[in-house]
Amino acid sequence: MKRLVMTLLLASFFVPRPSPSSQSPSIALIITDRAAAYEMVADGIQEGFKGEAKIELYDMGDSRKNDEKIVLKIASQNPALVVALGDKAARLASEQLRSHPILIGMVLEMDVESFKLPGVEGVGLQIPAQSVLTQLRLLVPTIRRVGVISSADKFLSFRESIRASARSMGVQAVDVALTGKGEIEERLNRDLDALDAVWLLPDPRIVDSTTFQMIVEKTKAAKKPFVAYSENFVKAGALFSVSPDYNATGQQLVLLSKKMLSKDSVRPEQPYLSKFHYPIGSYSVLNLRTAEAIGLNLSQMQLGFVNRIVNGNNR
Amino acid sequence: MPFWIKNRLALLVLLTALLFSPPGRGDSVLIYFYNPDANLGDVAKLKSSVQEYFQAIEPGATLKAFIRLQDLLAALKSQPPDFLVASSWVTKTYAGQYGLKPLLVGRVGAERSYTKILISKKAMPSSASPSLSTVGLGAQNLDVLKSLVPDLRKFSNLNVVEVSKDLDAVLAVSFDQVDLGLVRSENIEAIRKVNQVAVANLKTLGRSTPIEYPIFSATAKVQAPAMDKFVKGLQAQKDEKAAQAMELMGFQSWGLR
Repeated sequence: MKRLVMTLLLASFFVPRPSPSSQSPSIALIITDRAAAYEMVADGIQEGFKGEAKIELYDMGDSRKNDEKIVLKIASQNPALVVALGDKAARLASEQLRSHPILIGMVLEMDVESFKLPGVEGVGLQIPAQSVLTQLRLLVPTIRRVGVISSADKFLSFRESIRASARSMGVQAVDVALTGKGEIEERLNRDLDALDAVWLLPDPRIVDSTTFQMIVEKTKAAKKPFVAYSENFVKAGALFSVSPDYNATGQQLVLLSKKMLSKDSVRPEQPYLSKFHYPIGSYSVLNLRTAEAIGLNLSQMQLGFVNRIVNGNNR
Repeated sequence: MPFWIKNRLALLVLLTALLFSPPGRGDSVLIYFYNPDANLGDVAKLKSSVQEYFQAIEPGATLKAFIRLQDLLAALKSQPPDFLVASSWVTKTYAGQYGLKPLLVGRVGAERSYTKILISKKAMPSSASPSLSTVGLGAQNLDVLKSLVPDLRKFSNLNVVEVSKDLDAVLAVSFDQVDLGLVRSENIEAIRKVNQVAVANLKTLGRSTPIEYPIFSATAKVQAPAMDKFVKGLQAQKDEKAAQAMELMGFQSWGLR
């Protein structure tokens, strides 16, 4: 009996371990930190893979200090796929985990060299221009000229896609490209009359609370819609914002992950920056008080196209 | 029996009677609302308008509106309401589990139901598990999705990306992000008016079975008199406030179920 047990034990060392992908695949899910948006998407990914994959979650705590520890843990996990949420997680994965297929998500700045390497796929945070313009025109169908505010040297590719999308819709997108915050007031004074709406891109170099309020005041006075990129700006007086739907983002990442695990092509047919996927879905917010202030009388049907309506300043 | 025991017994009987008594005048009545096809942009307005609408029948009525199905289902378990106004497929799917008794169904004009259309830029996918974008129905409701849309039954699996509004489902198909979309045709027409290009190449591949407008149901704890009160009260309200409340909920009037 003892000999039989010893033989079996010895034999077990020579039985090959199944690779993670031949059973339930193992996925390493790295999040930049525990911000609500990352948690929502991470929960969606875990829910989408329930019973189908083993997911290990790694929290960077918004710091690159623990890179080495995380990389070592992931190496011992030997995942079939690495999913990284947020800029820091995406950089960690693309710089140090390239022996694994990588899917990055919730990254605003996609124009990073390590993201362009083979084996790295991604979903950006930037809502497609066509989606923003369509949603704006559902509220204000008469819009023909939209001023797009950003730094002159940022969002070059996205601003080109805005111009192309606008053209296809019979709208002209006018670049209000700035070299600094100081220029905003002068440019609005000069250009606002000739514009039907203003769209601010996410560029902290040119927008702070002072310049933001100035844009709100000038667009309200000129009765022009002001489109921002975050609900907080709408609460603070912008007319409308369109931002990612994080529930849908999680599901989109599950969809792409499953394709990558099956070695299917995930090349987007309409890519952002030649490679990345735009996010599916959007979350729109409208400030009804601002709408009234600029003379918009919106029907129930038009309001029905908006995810959330806020009614005043910071409410 | 000692006096102090008699009084405690009386108190216990009274408390038990109060606990199990049906909602009456001034009693609190909890009503849940869920209809992802209702375009719930102004939840605050819906809550106040619809709550006021129910309070005209029962002053103690409180309304809770849900954006996500999983939140509604969690609330149905943890704090069962007295009444529920919900998408017909929710009511039918969960009626047995939560003891729902359908009483009224919404109407638009003379119509008790609407349909959704299955759209794509290409022919029906040949993949066994295509991707689909739609509102309100996610991966956890594949059976419901297939029961609503016969053309989806041939697929062994569906990769569903649930979005918050039809516009997003239409654009997801238009941008080739998913194979299929399930949307209401009137929303495609609204998009066509402002962005012809986004919908130009969309084909209709199929149609859902008729989907009843939202259903007003009572839960198991509601007694017949209270059900009757609400059925009569809801059908009787025909003023502008009632019309607005019903429009916010996604229909125009009630019919008996």
